[in-house]
Amino acid sequence: MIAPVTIGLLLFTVGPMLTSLWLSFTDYDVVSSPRFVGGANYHYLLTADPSFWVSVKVTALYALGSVPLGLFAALAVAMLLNLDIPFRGAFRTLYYLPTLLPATVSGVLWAWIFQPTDGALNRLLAEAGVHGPAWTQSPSWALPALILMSVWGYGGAMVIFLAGLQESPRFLHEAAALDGAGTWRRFWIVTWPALTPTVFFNLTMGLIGAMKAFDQAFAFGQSNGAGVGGPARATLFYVLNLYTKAFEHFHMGLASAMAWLLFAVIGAITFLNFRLSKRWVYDEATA
Amino acid sequence: MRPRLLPALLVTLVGLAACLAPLAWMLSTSLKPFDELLKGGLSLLPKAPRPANFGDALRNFDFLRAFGNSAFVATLTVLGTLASSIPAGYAFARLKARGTSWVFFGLLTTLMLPGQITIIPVFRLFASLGMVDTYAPLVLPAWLGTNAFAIFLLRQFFRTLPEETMEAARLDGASEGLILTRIAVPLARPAVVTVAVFAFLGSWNDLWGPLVYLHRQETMTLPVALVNFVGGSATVQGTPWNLVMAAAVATVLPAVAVFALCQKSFVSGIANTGLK
Amino acid sequence: MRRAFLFLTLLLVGCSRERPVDPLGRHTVIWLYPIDVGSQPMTEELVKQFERENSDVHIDVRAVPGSQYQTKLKTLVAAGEPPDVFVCGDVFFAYLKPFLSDLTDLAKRDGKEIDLADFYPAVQKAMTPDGRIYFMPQWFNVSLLYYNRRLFDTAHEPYPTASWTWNDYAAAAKRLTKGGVWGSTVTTGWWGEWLTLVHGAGGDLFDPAITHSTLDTPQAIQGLTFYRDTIREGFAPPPGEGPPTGFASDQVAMDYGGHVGLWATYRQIPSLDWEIEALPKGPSGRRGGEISLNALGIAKASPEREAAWRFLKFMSSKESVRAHVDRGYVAIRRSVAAERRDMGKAPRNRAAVERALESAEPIPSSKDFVEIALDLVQPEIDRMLTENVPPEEAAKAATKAADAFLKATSGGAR
Repeated sequence: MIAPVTIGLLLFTVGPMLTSLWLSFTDYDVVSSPRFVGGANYHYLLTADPSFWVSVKVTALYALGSVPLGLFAALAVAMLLNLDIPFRGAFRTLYYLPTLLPATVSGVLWAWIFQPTDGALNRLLAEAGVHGPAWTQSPSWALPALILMSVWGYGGAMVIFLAGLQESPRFLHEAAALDGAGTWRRFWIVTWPALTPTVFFNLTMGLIGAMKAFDQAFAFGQSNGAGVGGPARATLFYVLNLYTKAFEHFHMGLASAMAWLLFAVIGAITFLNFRLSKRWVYDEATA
Repeated sequence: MRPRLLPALLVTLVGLAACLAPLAWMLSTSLKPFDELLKGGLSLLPKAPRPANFGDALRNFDFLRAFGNSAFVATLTVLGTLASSIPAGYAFARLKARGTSWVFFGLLTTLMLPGQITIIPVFRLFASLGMVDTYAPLVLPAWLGTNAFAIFLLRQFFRTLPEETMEAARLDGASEGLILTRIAVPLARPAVVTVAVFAFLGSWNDLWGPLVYLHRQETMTLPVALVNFVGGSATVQGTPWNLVMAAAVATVLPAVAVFALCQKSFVSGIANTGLK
Repeated sequence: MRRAFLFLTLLLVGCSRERPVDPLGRHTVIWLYPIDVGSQPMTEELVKQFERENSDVHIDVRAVPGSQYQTKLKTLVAAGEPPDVFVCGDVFFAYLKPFLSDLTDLAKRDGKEIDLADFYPAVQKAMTPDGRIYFMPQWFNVSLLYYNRRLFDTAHEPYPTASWTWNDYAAAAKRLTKGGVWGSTVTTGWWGEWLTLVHGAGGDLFDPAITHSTLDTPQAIQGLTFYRDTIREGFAPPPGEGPPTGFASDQVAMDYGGHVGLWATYRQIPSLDWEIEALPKGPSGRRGGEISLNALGIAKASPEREAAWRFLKFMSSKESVRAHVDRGYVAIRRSVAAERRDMGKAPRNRAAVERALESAEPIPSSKDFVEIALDLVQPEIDRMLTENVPPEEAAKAATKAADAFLKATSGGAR
């Protein structure tokens, strides 16, 4: 029963992982055989390639910008919906709609909204008398534009938060209220601890997702004609950089090295996240 | 509703308006004729709605065919995912064969793996098999149980099934396979539906795979076709954003339809993945 | 379970590709074609005509979106399945050369038929990069100065001439910038403009042996400074602020280095009264424009070399060139140019094309040129244009990155 899975695992995961590790130490352009070069790829990436650290910075900024903002927005909306307002179910569904869009469509839609001369955002700003920046063509504003787009799509996290909030036992809230605790104290003592597992889950998934982001950056870049990584590499996400190196210039060795570095970082951050979680995540067991 | 909740309701509505505005704008742009677009203006309602935009969009860049291609690939992927993940999930949940825990652990790590780690060797593999410009690289892995998320979800669900029912069937002489198909799967319908929907969406929205493996215009799937459309449709007067938005709306419609149909179970499925 | 495996095997077999076998038993030539919506009808007609005249050959046109052409071509080559015929002769030639079949013997054999001398001398030179022939061209692009006569007339400005210098150009552009009209325009994301200006100032991206980047020489920096000043002096809009369609919007007086492929597009705009002139001369006396050929080559490993060669000859024949001229391209054969088929259509100043050809710079001969120019240098240029980075600094950063890349390429990591 698990024969297909085992084959798939070996063929498409374990095997390729080991092969790509080997490839990261070679110079390989697919046309000729791989040529062993030791750590030269890693050396080039880490010390001489201008695009590498830029893409790390861009991705880090993207993750640090979009994940906390997105989680905050998702939590805020979830808390609003958790109150007994009417049409709650409908609201939940409607707020979730943006998540249905694939990242490519989001990228294209927001490239249109952020279009410097004809886009909706700058036209709106013009009505208010503000001369909006050249968003998709501006090195300083292209990434914030993508971050805003990402926050818009945090409906998934919102739904999970809402479920988490609704699991929060009612009687604890009432007990705290009876004890005279105000709204904020009730939040910190009762709601937050029960929420921490979901926050942790959303945080982990959000960070990993941000570090692997590709579709929206690619679509954004294709839509605004300023080159693949955006103006002055402003939206050159790490995976976009990897794709360009691998499938536009066929530097397979470099790309494999980039992939492994990414894996190492994701692994490290996830591990750190798990470790730190013991400090602030309330388990049923430890509560 | 208690009156003190009124501010909350208002805030929710404002937030919702801001959240849905881009979607409304997408729809509105898709119905505008091009010269209305050029003139500017922020009206949500087009002055002279032009549904023909959709026809135009679908004809350009073989978009209609891309639709068919996406449907073809997605269907095969969903079937493959179900065919391999259901037995695997069941096996991991209930059978105690040797080595299963190793395979399961391997599967878990793939959840953390960026797809880019394996793409180059896998690309090489498919290149040596002469399959680079075909759908095989997109569909084949699904049939070999590479969707760890699906297997995981199904395993969790299968674990909750009562052992007595299975035991009874076994005593009656039923094989494991029969137990799986006749008893376990029907009981696991919510999980199966969730897996199918996720697999469908994953394939329908996939950009990376088709971008790497597909080359000819006739074989393109929707996300690639859309990106190509945006990049390559610029005319004298600039990019025809109204057609692009029409194409985007068309791309999203199936996902919205699927969501509308399975809304309740789907959303609760997501909620549960976070909690468990 | 067994059935699943059977299905899988069938899928595997059914999906692998071999060369298509033509039901009529003709030679099949696979042509990887970059889609150009405007010229697609012309191309289809030409293919049909070729098949009529060569009934034993079938051209399998595999269409690929233009923006992805190079990626797809390289992927197919890398996967060991190159098409028989593909586009080359432009800046990607240096990279593609190892995969191209040397056609010199065929060109010699059929010398009378292809009549090389009929091509412009500059084109002939570009066709024989190291004395050998690897492709046959259909049309060419040279960098030209495009100007909007109506806007010049409205501002009472004399038209550009062949003896214009950078100063003339800048002065006119400044005078033309008023009332919503821009004197000139800047296109980011492509080396077409900054490299031309670097050449015009007497500099270059690399030294002739391509061992290091020479972008930080005073001449090159002068070229980059002039480029930056087009925005700083106010006669070109900052990136993203000008009309999205640039020169075609009828609000931009001049376009420095536009592409010949746009002629057909400009002709479609009734209000646009446009003309061409050779690029103004830079401080070094050079005009700096490039020439690139749109040509077809044959894959080294192609099993249908002879049939493909017949197709190439046809596509470069006078008949095909005439069809291209009708579509709006410039005639690449002098005999067809003399026929003046498109006499009544803009641009009328065809002498400008010949002048531009005389001074056109050759195709860069580094296989990594595109990667270096686009991925390593362009971002620094972007920053110079949008973030007030001084040209010297941008030049130094670009040179450093290019040198590191060259070193890594020849040393090990690619």
